[in-house]
Amino acid sequence: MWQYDKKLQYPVKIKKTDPKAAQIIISQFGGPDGELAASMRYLTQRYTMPYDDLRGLLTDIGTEELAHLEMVCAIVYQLTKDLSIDEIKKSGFDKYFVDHTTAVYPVAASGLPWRAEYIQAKGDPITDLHEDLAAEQKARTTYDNILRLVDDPDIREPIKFLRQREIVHYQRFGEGLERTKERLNSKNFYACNPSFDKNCGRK
Amino acid sequence: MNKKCRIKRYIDALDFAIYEMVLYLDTHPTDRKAQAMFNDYKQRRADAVKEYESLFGPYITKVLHNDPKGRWEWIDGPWPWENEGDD
Repeated sequence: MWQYDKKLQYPVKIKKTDPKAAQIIISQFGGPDGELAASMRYLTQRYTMPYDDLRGLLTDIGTEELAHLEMVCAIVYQLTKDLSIDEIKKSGFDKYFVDHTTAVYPVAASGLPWRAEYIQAKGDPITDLHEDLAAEQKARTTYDNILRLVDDPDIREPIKFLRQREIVHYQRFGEGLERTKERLNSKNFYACNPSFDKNCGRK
Repeated sequence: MNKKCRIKRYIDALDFAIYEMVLYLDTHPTDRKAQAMFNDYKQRRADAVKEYESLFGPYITKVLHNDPKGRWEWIDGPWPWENEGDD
């Protein structure tokens, strides 16, 4: 089960509203490579992982991604606080505003709502870990792109933190993949699926 | 940054370092050096919380917090996504 720590993992203190930036950054909430996808992907894959270290890793990274989701939502919340109708109209935020006012709703920058198809839980640890490695790089590139588009240092600081975390997660998943291969037949890693087949490799 | 804010930030930094060690230990469960770092960070965090509480009262971030004062402070703002409060 989960406990909640009533604080952000890294501070978000934005002084200037910017609904245009909010529409971009919201992709890291509801977009294909965002934190909602990341947390759901890892927390879902963990159930059929065959080894304790992978169960731990996916649970703990998945939980951290929930904290990152919270940070992204805090950024969007602060960027859209106390907007005037004039600002809403001028920034193109009116298209989002009409359906959500200033609620923080999981969509991509394109306006497409979040979907479960953004994640996969394939029930094979080698496959799932490759999905996870790719997910971390996709998230890192998305944060790179946000940094190209946004100048405000109050926004850049938490974004840079989140980007750095993706790189560390990638490292951990890489280690998870190595540990998995070490337990399988070195002549053929794909001979069986340790999540499903009995007597597949060693623990 | 005042002292309250500085200690809070220090606790936050330690919480981050502790969680980073959790992830590392997940894939390196027998690494003794890492376990020692983890324990060191946890001790420093406990000391920092103690210092905070001696000066400023209860440090409340968990719902099952210590020292409920006869009113339910858990719900008190600011909540983490708000840009308010003394840090």
